[in-house]
Amino acid sequence: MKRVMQVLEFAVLFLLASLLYGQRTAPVSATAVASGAQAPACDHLFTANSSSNAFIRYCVSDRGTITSIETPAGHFHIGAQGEGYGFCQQDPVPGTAYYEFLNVNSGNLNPPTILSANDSSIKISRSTTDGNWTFVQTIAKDATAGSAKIQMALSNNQAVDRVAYLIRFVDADPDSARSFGAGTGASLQSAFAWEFAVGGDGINRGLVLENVGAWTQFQQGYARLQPDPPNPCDFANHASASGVGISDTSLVYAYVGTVKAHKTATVNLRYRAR
Amino acid sequence: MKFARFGLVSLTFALAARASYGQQPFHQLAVAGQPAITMSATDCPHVFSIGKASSNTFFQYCVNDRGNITQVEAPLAHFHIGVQGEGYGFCQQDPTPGTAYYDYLNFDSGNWQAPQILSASSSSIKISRTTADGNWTLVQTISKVALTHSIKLVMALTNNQPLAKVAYIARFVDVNPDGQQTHNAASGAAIQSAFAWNEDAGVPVHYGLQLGNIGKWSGFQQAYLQGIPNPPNPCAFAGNAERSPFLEGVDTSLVYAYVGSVGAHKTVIVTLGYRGT
Repeated sequence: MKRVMQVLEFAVLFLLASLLYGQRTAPVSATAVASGAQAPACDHLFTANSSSNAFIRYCVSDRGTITSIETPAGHFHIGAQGEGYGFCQQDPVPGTAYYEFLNVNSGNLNPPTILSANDSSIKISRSTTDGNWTFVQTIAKDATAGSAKIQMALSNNQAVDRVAYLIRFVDADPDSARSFGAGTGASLQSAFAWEFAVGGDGINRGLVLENVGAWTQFQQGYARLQPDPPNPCDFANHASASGVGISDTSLVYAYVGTVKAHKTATVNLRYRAR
Repeated sequence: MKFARFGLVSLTFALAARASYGQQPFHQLAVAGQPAITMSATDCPHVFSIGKASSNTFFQYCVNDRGNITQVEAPLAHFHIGVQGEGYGFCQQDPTPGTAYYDYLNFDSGNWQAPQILSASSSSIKISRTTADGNWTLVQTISKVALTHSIKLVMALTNNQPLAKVAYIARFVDVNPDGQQTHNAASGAAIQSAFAWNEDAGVPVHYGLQLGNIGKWSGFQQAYLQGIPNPPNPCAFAGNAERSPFLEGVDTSLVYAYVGSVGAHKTVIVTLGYRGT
């Protein structure tokens, strides 16, 4: 019975996210125009496993977006729409979206503060302009797994409990493949993209965005049938119903849960080679 | 240039593996078509669980005395291994056409000594097998990883011979993601992992399984998607591999393979993992 209730809860949340489509309260504001598959600059560069197939090198901007992922050496996976994060306060309807993707942001986040940075990790804090939320992310390299691990901690600064949607997004162009020969999938624990064309050196490469923590409420990966980032209040919009995509797609991993007054909810994800 | 050379090496191994395909008949231990392996005590002598049953991180799996993972349940009530089971194999490349040693639940090469359980606890099991000819010893340590709700497989292969030998090491699983054998099953493979998931558009959540490398390996390594559910000959691990590693609506299986030289009286170690997609 408990499991049935959980499934019903998931279904309700999924429908809610779909119904909210088009009701975004914060218009997308372009902050840059993408010009190519790779980010031109890198604020914070991290490298692990320099001589093996577990090689990973990635760049993190001061805003906490990952502007490039190279794994293994010479193989890049982020497209022109970039990577980033967002969250949505569900109530009052239609919700309030806060987000920072490479090329677009919601315009309602204060400037980021870098709390710490070294050659293995960076910790960045952002609060919302309304003061309602503080978002702290720690992005750390994991040499053992050949991955970039992301911890996102969302604090509710308000005096009442709030339901929040928390997402991570990437425009995945696996091994720089944007449409032809690029496959995308999504499941409970991950969303992923890989290049499946025949030819080259006979090896296919890709990227996975996966949950690596414990979360007791709704969570799911999505394969988006377009490269643009979603409105966090509508994260399931444009998601493939089958969890399969072939074309210029993108990946989203989403969590939904209640964040109690003056408490913090924490999720853990990672990027690694598919 | 480094990658060009690596690519050539990769292609050479893949071609060699394809060329020798079919040179070693399988010794079938059971007939396909039987019900999928369950979590019963008969099928599952060593059961490992992670997470609460009500949680998405719930992960339960069985290991038999021979070191096969007979079933994976992730999360609760979602099973992912088909009737051809799961298992391991390796091949001594020389002398040609190579010698295959394998145990895939339903298929066994018949050239093993009996397995020995070196240790077993609620979190891991360590099993040793030596080949009947005494040339090799394979020690597997299969552990649960609570943090990533996954299985960690460490396969340590020791060459007991006085000469260095090239060995192929393979892990195989007949994956039926969320019980989907053909219809509604999607599968793929890339350099670090092979994976399959339920693509039924009528379900709110898609469940699946991935088999991937999680260690460091300096030789050839690659995941393969097979267009059939049967296990490969380890001496021809790429023999059934799809050229384009993406299939939908096909009864597939997954293989992860490593190739490398094992020095005389030395051990090589590979590390893999299973987790939900």
